[in-house]
Formats: sequence, structure tokens, C-alpha cells
Amino acid sequence: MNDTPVLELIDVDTYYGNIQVLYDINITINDGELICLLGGNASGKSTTLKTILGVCKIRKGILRLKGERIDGKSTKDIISRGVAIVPENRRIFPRMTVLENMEMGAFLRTEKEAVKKDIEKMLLLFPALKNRLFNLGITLSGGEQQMLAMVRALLSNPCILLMDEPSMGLAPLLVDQQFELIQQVNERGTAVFVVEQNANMALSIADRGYVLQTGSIVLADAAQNLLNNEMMKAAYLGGTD
Amino acid sequence: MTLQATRRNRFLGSAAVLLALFLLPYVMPNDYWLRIYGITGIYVMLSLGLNVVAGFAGLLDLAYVAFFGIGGYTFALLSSNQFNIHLPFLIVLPIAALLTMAFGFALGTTSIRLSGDYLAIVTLAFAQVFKLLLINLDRPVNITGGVNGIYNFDAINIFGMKIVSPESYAYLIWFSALIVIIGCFRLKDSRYGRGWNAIREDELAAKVLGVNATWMKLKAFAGGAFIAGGAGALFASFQDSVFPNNFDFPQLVIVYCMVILGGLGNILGVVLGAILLSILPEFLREYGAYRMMFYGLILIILMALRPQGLLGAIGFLSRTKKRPDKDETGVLRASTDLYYEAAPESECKGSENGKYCKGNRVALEIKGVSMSFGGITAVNDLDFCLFEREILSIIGPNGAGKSTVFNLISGIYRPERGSVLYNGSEIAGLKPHQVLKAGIARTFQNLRLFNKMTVLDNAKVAQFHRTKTGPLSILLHLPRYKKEEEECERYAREILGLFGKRLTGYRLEQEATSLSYANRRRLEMARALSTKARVLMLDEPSAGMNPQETSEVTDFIKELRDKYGYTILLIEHKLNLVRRISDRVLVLDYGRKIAEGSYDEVAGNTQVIEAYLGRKGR
Repeated sequence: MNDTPVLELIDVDTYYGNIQVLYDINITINDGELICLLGGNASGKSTTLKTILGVCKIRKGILRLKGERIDGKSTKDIISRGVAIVPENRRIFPRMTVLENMEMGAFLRTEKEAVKKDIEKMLLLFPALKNRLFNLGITLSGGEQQMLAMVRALLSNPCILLMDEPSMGLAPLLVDQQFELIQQVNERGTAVFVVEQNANMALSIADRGYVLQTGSIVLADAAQNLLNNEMMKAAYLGGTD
Repeated sequence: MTLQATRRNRFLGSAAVLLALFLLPYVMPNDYWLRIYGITGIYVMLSLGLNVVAGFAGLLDLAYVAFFGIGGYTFALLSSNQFNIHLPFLIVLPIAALLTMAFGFALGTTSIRLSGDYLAIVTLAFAQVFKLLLINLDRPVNITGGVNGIYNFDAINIFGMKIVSPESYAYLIWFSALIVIIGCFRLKDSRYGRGWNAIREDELAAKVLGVNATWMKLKAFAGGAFIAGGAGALFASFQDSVFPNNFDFPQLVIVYCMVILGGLGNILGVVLGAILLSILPEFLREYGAYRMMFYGLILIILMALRPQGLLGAIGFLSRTKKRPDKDETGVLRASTDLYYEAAPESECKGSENGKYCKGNRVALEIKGVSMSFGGITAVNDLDFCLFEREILSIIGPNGAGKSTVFNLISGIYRPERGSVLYNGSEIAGLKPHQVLKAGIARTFQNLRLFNKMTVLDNAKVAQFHRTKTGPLSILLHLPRYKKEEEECERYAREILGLFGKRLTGYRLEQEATSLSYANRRRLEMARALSTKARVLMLDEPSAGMNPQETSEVTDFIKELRDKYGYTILLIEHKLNLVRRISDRVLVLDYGRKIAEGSYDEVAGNTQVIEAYLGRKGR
């Protein structure tokens, strides 16, 4: 673990047109950490991800990846510097084979041999996909799709993996599985930034958490402390599903 | 602005426009400009007609110019020496418009099921065939006059008033244009306008809410043709001649430019676009051959600056502002929605003594239904019943076929085998709007709201299938139109009011897209409720909601049954919700039913735990 954070947001403001959506956002993600961002609907979670990816341009503040400034850079540039995302609902390419889906993840990489090796490594980590390599994406079960989406994101060799609401619309069995996968990936050394509504689940695997409310960060603490925080219990953790 | 002030402003505005139209012919410097004034009026009508097809209903109709031609030639044949038929103008005009409309209908019935590019190709072919007919129908019998066209028509005579001078034409044309403008406004603000809007925004959602999309598109097609036909007759008389070239492709492109420049669907914008593009070429005339180049350049620049059209939403006037729901209290809340008051205890209607509960009569019966996609079986020989006023939840792993079951019942798919009975009668094979009319409404898992329509209009359009006013009542604002509109508005507000203040007040006039996620979910439900269907199929109503919001939705769904007597079929992943409200639970896996029964029975089933719940069996 070295000292420069993988990703830093410093006093970031973001607008949609003329309406300010994010206010003075400060988030730091260190190498190998698993961080979660919690918040209700319309609190600005997805906007934070879009801001990191350069889809929304920031109007104030600094965005740094491995110490280098990336605010104002294009999305393609930011991705090629090592940011990967598993989008909401996974978004597998339905008419491409599993292998082709994986190769799409490595789209920006030029060293073909290394990509091949990485795919083999991934198949060791996710053996369920091995027999499915030449099946179309659409034929995968929910759990397999999840794995594929993770593999696809990881094949770009990211230094940080962003996950947008991984538990949304998943059967309970798959929710457990999904979070186990996230933990596995993190244990291999990739920093992970999870945006979630399912506060219990996310905090149970995360190192630290941030809580977003109407565009501002209102709480930031170690995951364990957040789980025990009275305000959090009242607002988020009430339901135990 | 108060309603009164708005009314006064509107009145003053209309008066100013009328006065200007009345005075303009007097201030024109010469007959040349008077003619341009007249032509402008014809273009205004033409582009408004196209706006009905392309702007309101979103159809890429390239036969439009042929409809203009059919109107023109109809006038030419019925009011000239060509066949020695000399009908008076007041008879020819409706004939031209109605005949063109008939052509529109005929072309529409054969091609309207095609969408996008295919519709464009077929209609383009129609326009080309029409032009070739015009050119070649001078032999063996001279009908169209070939390339020489037809000229020298009877002078228009309206109740003794002869329309000959450019001034009188200008008045006649602009009088007609005014009628078209008013008609378009009235159409837009009616069930027709809302229906077209919905089809354009999301055709599938519109169908499922009871809008007969094919029929409505056909009506737009015919309505556009009607206006084009009338405009064609006026144009022929004004020019005192018709040639095939008047109705060729370049003409169509110009009219499309007018509509797009002004802003598709925006009536005033389209009028402005038509006026601008009719006058602009005159100022460029002195540049000779470069004229078209300038013309094109100006169009490109305008579209680059305002791609949504001249009178699209004007954004640069508004100032930077905070988000409207910015919290300053410092209290931690899981949702912005929680600032707003929850639903007030509304009067319990219908149930007299206490609550509704599950009945013994079967409302919906699925018998041996199967469906597969490209060799993969999504639903396999499925049987189940839904009793009256029952809450039945369908659970199962992702990809188990739950949403497919909804699509099969709501008529989006037709089952390959088996039958779906509603109150004893077969509904498999019905179209989505017919299923809704029978009494089954649904919501979608990933929200299919009409995003650019207001909250109120979203609820109003769901009543399309119950309202009946036709085009005449709408155009003439007959009492039955007003009565139905009022009733429609009242019911929409009542339904939206079920969600407390979250969908009412200033939100009524907000676009659906500006609502928070949870509110959009609520609006999706409100829309289904507005249809007055008795069976509701809710596809993951709590997806993406936090625990508090979920618990609220749970209560709401329960209330829908207990208080209002709805029959509810539910797909959900959140077991807390399922446990709290379901009378029975149905578990699907790989398209098959693996368990059925009360929540506790199902949750204890080993097969279910293996496939769905997981070892923890939460």
C-alpha cells in the first residue's frame, strides 16, 4: 500500500444545467480499499459516479487519479487511465458471446497476449464462466451475468473499480453472491468504490463509508462505526432486508 | 401569474395577431410581396399539417407532398375546363380535403404498422409514384396535363364575393390558416394530443395503458393529409395552375425544414419556422445562384445553435440555482421524499363494513402457458389462478420468466401454447390496449413513464381508453368535450392525491423526468390506477427504494386491496414486502412453477431455498 490515494475528490461541485447537484464533495479512496457510498434516491450517488467518469464536468474542485489531475479530461481518457465501472443492471451485450463480452472490456488495451493471459486468470477466479465462453450473453443466468460484468470491467486492468447499485433488482441469493464477488475482487488488490442503497449489505463488506444527502456528504466514517451510528440506524438501517 | 392575467394576455395577444393579419396586406409595398404574404399562409398550413403527423405522432411521412398534390389536382380537375366541370369553390375545398384524407387513410392502413425507416421508404415510394402519374397521365386520355400541368381555373366565388386580387387571396388564405392554427391547438390539448404524445414518447407503454397506437397513428396520418389537401386546393387556385414540379421532393424538404426549424410539435414554433423560411429566400434573391447555399448555411447554423428548434425550451434565461430539495436541517434522512407529508387519511370508498379481502371467484386463470425465445424456454407449461381481490406474489431468480409472465398476460407476447382467461373469457392473443380495456393494468420494472409529459398528463393519458370524444367535438369544443376533459382532470388529480403531496401541487405541472426516482415509481403506479382497471400487475414496485420507502409502498399496495378492492399480481425481490402483504406466493425457476402457497410454506421449501433464497434463508 503506498501513500498516494487511488482516487481523490476534493471540494467538488457538479451541476446539471443550472441546478447544482453536488456540493463540496470530498472522497478519498486508498490503494486496496473497499469504500461504499450510501444515500437515498436523488441524493447524488449516480452523479458522483458520473463526475468521476467525466460524464458530468465538475465546476469547482479537484479530481485526482493516482495523484494526477483528471478533472476536465474526457471519459475515454479517464477509462484508459485505469477506472472501470460495472453499470447498474450490468448491461451485458446480449448478442455477443461471453468471450466477446470479455474482450470488449479490454477494448482499449493493445497487448493482446497479456489480455489472453488475463482472461485465463479470470476464468480461474470465475470457473462458472469457463463452459459458457461461446454462448451468447443473453443466455446467461442472472448470477453468470453478474460475474461476466465484473470480469469485463476487470479486464481493462483498472486501478479502481466503480460499482453502481450492484444489488438492484437481484434475487436474495444473488445479492449475497454479488457482495461475495466484490469482496473477492477487492482481496486481489483492486480498490473498489460501491454505490449502494442496501446500506447493511454494503457496510458489512466495506472498509469505510460515506453518506450522501441532497448532494452533500453528511457522514464519513469507518464502516463498523457507521453500522453502530444511531442516526444511521434511524435513517437507513431500520429495515433488515 | 394568475389565471385571469394569463387569460387577459392571451386575449390581447390574439387581438394583436388578428389586427396585424388584417392590416398587413395594406402595408405590403407591392403585389409581389402580397403574393409572398399569401404563399407564407399556405406554408403555415402545410407545415402545421405535417406537424400533426411528424410532430405530434412522430411519423416520418414522406408522402406528405403527394397529399398536397392530390388536393391541388382535385381542385384543378373540378374547377376548370379540363373536363368542363365547374363546381363552386365551397364544394371543391371540402372534396379536395376529404379525398386527400381518404388517400391518407388508404396509404396509412397499408403502411402504418411499419415503423421508422420502413415507413419513410414506403411513403417516399408513394410520393414518387404519384409524381410519375402526374407526368404520364396525359396519354391515352389527358387527365393531368402531363408536364404542362393544368391552368386557368374558375375564379373563387364565395357567396358572391369574387376572390381574384392578391389582397382577397391573402385574406382567404390567412383566414384558413388561422382555423388550422386554432384546430391544432385544440387537438394538442385533448385526448388525441395526449395519446399521440404518449405514442411518440414510448409506444409500448402507451399501448399497455390503453392507447390504440395503430389507430391513433392512422388518424394522425389522415389528419395531416386532410390539412395538406385543403392547402393544396387553395394553393392551386392561388397560383391559377398546377404542375408536377409543385409537388416534388424539394418542396417536401422545405416543409420539413420549416417544421424542424420551428421545433417539432411546437405549434407557434412551426408557424414561426414557416414564416421565416418563406420570407428568407426573398432577401437572398439578389445573390442569384448562391441563394440556396446561403439558405442551407443559415439552416445549418440555426440548427447547430438550437437543435430543439427555435421555440424549444428556452434554457439560457434561467439562472444558476440550488437544487429545489436541498436539505439544510442537518437531520439524516434516507430520502428527499420524506420532507413531504405522507398521504392524508383519505375517505374509504367502496368497502362499507371494514376491509376487502381475498374472494373465492377466480379473476385470472393461466392454463398451460408456454413461451420460448429462439429455442430458450422462458415460460414452461405454467398454470396458476389469481382470485378476486387477492394479492399474489411471484418470486424467483433473475431470468426465471417472471416478467415474461406479465408480458404474456398484458398482450405484449402471444403465448405459444395455453390460454389466459380473465373472468372466464380468453384474453390470450388480444392486443395490449384490449387487455387493458378488459380490466388489467400493469407497471414496468424499469419505469416507462412518458418523461417529457407532465405528471398530470401522465395520469390523464391513462384514461384514453375510457374517453370517447372524437375530432369534431375536440375541434369545435362541444360541451361533451368539456365535460369529459373536466372529469378526466378530476380523476387524475384524485389518483395522484393518493400519494399525499408528492405528486400534487407544483409537481402536477412538472415533467415526469424531473421527479425523484421514488416518485417516478409512484407515478408509474398512479398511471396504472388511473386506467380504472381492477387487476393490477406490479413489476418490482419497490426496486431501488430504501427500507423506509419500501415499507411505505408495501402499506400502499396493501391499502389498494384492503380499502379499494383491487386484485393484485406482484413481482418482487424484497421478501419483507412479499411476506407482509401476500395472500399467496408463487415461485418460478427456469420458467416452471416450483412452489405455490402461503409465504411460510414457500419459504420452507428446500427447492426454493436452493434456487432462490440461499443458504442463509433470510
